Amino acid sequence: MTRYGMVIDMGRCVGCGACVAACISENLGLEVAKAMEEGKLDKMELRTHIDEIEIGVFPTVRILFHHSMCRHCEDPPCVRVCPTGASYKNKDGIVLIDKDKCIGCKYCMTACPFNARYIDEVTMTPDKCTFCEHRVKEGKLPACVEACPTHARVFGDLDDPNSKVSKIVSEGATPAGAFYGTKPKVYYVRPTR
Amino acid sequence: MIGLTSYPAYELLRQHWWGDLIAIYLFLGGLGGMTMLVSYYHWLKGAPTRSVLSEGIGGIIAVLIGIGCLVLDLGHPERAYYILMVPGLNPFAAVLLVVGVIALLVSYYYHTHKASRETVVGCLIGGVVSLAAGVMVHATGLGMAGLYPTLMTNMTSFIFVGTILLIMFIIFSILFVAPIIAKRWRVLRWLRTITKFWEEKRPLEVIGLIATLLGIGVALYTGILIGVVESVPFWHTPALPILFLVSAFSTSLSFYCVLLTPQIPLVGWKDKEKLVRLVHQVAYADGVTMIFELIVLGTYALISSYGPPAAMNSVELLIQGDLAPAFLGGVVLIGLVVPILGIFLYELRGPYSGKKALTAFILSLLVLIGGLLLRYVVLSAGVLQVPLV
Repeated sequence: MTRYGMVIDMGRCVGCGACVAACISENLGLEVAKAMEEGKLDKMELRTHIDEIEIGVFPTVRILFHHSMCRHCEDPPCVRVCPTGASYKNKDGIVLIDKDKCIGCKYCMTACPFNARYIDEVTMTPDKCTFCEHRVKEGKLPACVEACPTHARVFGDLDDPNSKVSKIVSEGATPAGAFYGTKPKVYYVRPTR
Repeated sequence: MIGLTSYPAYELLRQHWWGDLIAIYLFLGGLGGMTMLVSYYHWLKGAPTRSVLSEGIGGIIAVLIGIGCLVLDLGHPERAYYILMVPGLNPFAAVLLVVGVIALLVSYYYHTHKASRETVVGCLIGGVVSLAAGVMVHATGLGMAGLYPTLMTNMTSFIFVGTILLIMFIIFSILFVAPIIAKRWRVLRWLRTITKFWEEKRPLEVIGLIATLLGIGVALYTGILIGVVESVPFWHTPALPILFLVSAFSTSLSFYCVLLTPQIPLVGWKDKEKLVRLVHQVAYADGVTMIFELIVLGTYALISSYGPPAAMNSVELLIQGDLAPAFLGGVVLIGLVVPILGIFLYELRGPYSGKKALTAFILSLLVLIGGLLLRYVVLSAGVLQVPLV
């Protein structure tokens, strides 16, 4: 049984946005077309995005590129609160939304502590990162991982001790917001200088 | 070297997904649920039938309007029934099977207590028909054959639990008021051919009690629905369902006053005195409830103001932020303080009078406005504490 997860090495990230662009190109074609038609491209919500965070105290300051996305929790609160079972976890541990079953109650959006979900203006249901499940099924990497020029995003099977992702996790990468108890499967490597 | 402690641990984000329609739903759900307690209690105490009926029917209508608001808030209102798609057992079939079993038990009870043969046979036939209908609905899927056997519901979701509670509440509330209506309104006398099977006092007592318990469940559920949302610390507290329950009870009493007062000029002098006295008794009970509500609300806000940070931010929004006019002015002053002072300093001093009943009417309207605003400000003040790195 595979248990997919991701590591984001913030020390390696240069904030180029290739991961965001690749995600849009791979997954959000219709949404972009609609947003362009309505002139709302700048307000469009994305499956993954990068925020710049200033850290440190002058003169030792720097910009940190924080990556936001669905954490594909092992115990996802979005799945727990979904009344119709539209939010579910597949056999590989990827949290997905069956948009045909979704009634759009937005309970999952309030329940997600990571603010990973938003309303897809095309389907009027919540949307979020899927770890590019359609690509993973074909043995490919998620689009964002493939596009990253500095290999800041690493994807793989957390249950395989020989996978790169497992090795980085065993070296000390940790998820953000572990105190919520949802066991997120997106880990972060924090820069120390 | 930049120490790890310099990383921002979280960002605060105000929830914007649930708005006015959900606030109305939470308000009407709570109010409607608790009206059954008020209605049932006054029915047991022999209050005028018109007052019991107006409260009972008013509660059912309030809950139905609330459900309408919930459905309208959905991204896909046309799919609302997906909530009821139970794996293995159609929910409509489940309701029919439960009603069937209850009818058989009632029939057995009557048989052992030597009730009339007609009543025993009536309950028996009703039970068997209900069970048969349940089996048929389950077998056919009631036209939802493509949907109902799929695993489409989630027992851990409080929207699902709430939907079941609301449906059961509406069914039992209708079962409770139907025989009373059938006896009282000539136009609906035909209903007695059906309601005669449970129109006697004893079965009505049982049905009313079940409806009352379900109503309390509905009112409590409105708080639990948002209380289980762990990502919003201001909601994620056991105090919230209690606050909503107490507020629901208070608003249901006010709703009773609002429904009773316009009836006073319409009745004969004997009933008039009864109704005026009833309005004052209800106003007194409401006043005591509101004092309790004020204590719960104050404690809830006080404890939340000590953290976690998102909850502190929520309280700040209520006390100093853009929600301050609605919270301090609407919920606390108009919805609680003014009605409490009005009831204890004016309403309950001196003899009862029609003029005082009118005051109770106005104060009750203020309580209802306060109750609605309470749901609105609690929802709007929901702040998520989103972990960063």
